Amino acid sequence: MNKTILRFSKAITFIMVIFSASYISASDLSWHEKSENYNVYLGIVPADMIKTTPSLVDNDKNLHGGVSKLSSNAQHVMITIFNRSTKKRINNATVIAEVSSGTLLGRKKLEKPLEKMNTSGQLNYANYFDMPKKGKYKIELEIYESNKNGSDEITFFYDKQ
Amino acid sequence: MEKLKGLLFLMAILVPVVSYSASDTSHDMDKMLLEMESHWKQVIAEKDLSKRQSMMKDHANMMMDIRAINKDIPEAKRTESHHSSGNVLEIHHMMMETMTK
Repeated sequence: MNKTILRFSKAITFIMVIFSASYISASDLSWHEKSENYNVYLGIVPADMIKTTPSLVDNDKNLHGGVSKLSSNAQHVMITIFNRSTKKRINNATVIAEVSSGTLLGRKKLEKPLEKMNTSGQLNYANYFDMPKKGKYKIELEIYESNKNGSDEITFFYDKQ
Repeated sequence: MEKLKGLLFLMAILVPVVSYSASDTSHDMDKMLLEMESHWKQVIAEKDLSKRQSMMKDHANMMMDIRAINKDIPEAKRTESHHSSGNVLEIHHMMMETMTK
């Protein structure tokens, strides 16, 4: 009987390890992060691969400060934001992004607002950021809504290949 | 007695697995999303245009597979993963659109 109990425990432990291991990796999705109020989704495309002119909601004449000024290492960083409880898209936020790389001693950072864009008929927030080297970049977002006090902060990590 | 022990042992393994598979496909969804994200990194790292375009077609197929699973989940069984997968697919669609003339 003891052997049966032992086998039973081993089987249960094995199943639990298999499932918990899968969920650990699944929870580490780099393109989706949550804050208290929002679900935020990240998308990154190298600027030199962009074929269409992104359409800005606020009709800025110089897209994200001017495409002609971009370096060959610029990346188009875009996000979508959804309310966590209602699951509805947030269309009226102000988003500030800080992209940084390196160590504490040699840290380089660039801060810009993300501008409202229409892509595939849906609103997103985007801007170009220079990412000159391969490796890990930290993308810190501050999200403000005019009808709320304070802001939500969300951090993504992006491993540039 | 031995048969009963064997049956109990089998049930201990099968019951959680069967009930898990029947009630929750979010594990599959998360795995497919992880594969899609990994594939996207390969797409944007590819410098050869024709190879990249071919990879983008593969990426679109991966998205369609996930969408097909997602739309078949009844509302009552939809988990957070099922809801967020739609938003992940949307931003991948947006990225693909910016790369297409």
